[in-house]
Amino acid sequence: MVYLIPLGYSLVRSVFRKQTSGIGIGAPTDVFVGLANYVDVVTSPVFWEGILRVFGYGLIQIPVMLVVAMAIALLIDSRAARGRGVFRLSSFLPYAIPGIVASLLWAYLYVPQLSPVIQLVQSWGWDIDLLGAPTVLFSIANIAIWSWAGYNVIIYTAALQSIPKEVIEAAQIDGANGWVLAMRIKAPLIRGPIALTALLSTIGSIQLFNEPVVLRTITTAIGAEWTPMMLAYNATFAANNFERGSAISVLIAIIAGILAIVYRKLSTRGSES
Amino acid sequence: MRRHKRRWAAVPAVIAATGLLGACGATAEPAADGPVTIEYWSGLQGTDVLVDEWNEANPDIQVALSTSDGSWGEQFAKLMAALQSGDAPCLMLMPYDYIPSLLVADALTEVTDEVAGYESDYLESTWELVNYAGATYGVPSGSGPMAMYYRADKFAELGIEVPATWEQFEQAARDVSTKAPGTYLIGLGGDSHTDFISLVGQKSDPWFEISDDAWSVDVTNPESEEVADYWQRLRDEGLLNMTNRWDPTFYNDLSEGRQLAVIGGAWQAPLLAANVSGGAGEWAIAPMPNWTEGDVASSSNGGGAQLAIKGCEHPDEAMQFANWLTTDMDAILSLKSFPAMKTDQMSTPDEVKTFFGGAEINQELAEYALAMRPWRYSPTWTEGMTVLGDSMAAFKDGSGTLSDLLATLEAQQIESMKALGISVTEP
Repeated sequence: MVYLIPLGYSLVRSVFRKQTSGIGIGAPTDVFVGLANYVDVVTSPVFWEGILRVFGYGLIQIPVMLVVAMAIALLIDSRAARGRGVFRLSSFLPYAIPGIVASLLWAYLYVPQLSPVIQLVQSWGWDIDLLGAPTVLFSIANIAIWSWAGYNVIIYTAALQSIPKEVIEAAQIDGANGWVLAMRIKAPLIRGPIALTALLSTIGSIQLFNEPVVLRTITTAIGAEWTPMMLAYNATFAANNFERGSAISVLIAIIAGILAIVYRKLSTRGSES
Repeated sequence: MRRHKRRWAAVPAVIAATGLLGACGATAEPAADGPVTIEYWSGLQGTDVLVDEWNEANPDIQVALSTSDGSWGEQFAKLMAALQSGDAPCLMLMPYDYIPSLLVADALTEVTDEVAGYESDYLESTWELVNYAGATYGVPSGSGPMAMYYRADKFAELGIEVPATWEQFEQAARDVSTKAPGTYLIGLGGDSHTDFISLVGQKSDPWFEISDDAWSVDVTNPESEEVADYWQRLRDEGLLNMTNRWDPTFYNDLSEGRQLAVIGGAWQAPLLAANVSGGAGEWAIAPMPNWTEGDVASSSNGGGAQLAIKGCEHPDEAMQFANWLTTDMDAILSLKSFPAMKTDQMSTPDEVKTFFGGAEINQELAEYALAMRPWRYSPTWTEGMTVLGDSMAAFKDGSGTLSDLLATLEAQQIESMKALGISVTEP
């Protein structure tokens, strides 16, 4: 019930519109408009620009993050690595920092006047702008990779530890070294968790919100309706249009749902073959 | 799914915060048998001191202040949520440009009769901004007559005369760039859309007017286009400092002499005095340039009103407090606002006076306030702000022009008003 009430409320609100008349002063009335709010949203370019943007962002961020996470997890799991505890803790630590705080920390490193990193790079004679229109997407991807890689490391190490000892030993007897063992034996055996993390990350990308909202305060390269979630937030709270905001939210939920089904189909097909 | 929840966290936080704020206020008691309590939201620092002062002097009308923080947009959202949950205050400070949107959201209480006796306390141009179709919804609190603040010593050093017309201003901008490369006379950053609108407002008639039970919209009129083209030309010729107004870098640019002048509302004077370190004592003030030699038109930038919120049980008492707060010179100046009241004796806070070389600049600003041209915001202005912000960012990075901004805004405003069922007269 608790899960369904907000969803149900959004669904109901999204088929209404507040209507007023004349110069607009006085209590507005609720008018049933069917799917008109949805039609408005799906025919507005801003919505699709936002969707494209988060997909582009996902294409950069997800593979990099998952490869980084997998590399750390394999290192932690391999007996060769020393200081496993330190590795695990240091990769997981950023996850313990709330997204907003992480964005603020990174924002500090991105602002030219404050950032020691940019000042160092500038002293080499390079002029870099990490908050410009083309670069800001990468800057945001960087924050997310930093924040979330450790979370995926934990999933992967847990999965790696559940691989039966006999399998590993058998491979070692066959002469597999650390690299072959990691690439040909361990990684394929945890395909399920990899698909899971890819799915979670994709849903996370569609819901991109905290990082751009924080960075927006220091750059004009990020518009108020930059991602679909920001569009929903803006419609609801800036334009005071709960109905449109609800329609956008429901559409985002539908897209996330479709992706979840596609992933499930792909990952089950993978394990059958 | 942990990630899923975290991403949403920001939204319920706004609603939760509202609940807490609402809970802070005491419930009002009937006026007849004892003191009434006015719940008041204000985001201005220093308000608590004034509220204490009032409460001590007025045992019958107690004001319970909730410091409503965040940007104006966030405060607007907070109020909307509070109205839905029944925790809205009785009185709230909001900028003029939000008032029509608040009206359309049915968030205000009419106080025409309660404030009738106060009308003569305020400048006509600001009183107009709390009046819609013959009804009044509060009292003006601050005003923002546009002025030009500049580095007098640098002007003298470079041989730049204080420009009285925009033509002279353009020439001065060019002279600064050639005589001192890397230095700009003026800037217009990607977050300066309200400044740009005030620059337009000096020449154009109000973009939005109420006539015959409909809103007439005319954003792309020839005067507005002319102002847009003027600033576009300055930008295209590289004569504008493109640093954002609200970046910390902005004050850096002023402190280190990379930008020599600012054209902005009166409330910018105390901000400059507090944040600009270089050239203190060398700054001076002049009227904003005019389009025709000899004209004295200024324009309105920012400022806000103390508004009676829907459900306010004691609007009369709320307005008594609001009127005291907005007509007490020291009170208003202590909030770093510029008064909207009529006065012939305007004082200037010491730190501001020192920054401007000992000049009584508020007396000067009071004169510009008399020359402010009328302006009116639209009932879907909160939606227009998004378009404005994005268009201004496009102006900054060169992917759009100010003329595009006018066209986009006009189309969006007409569309959003029609979507709400408001009658619109198109240009």
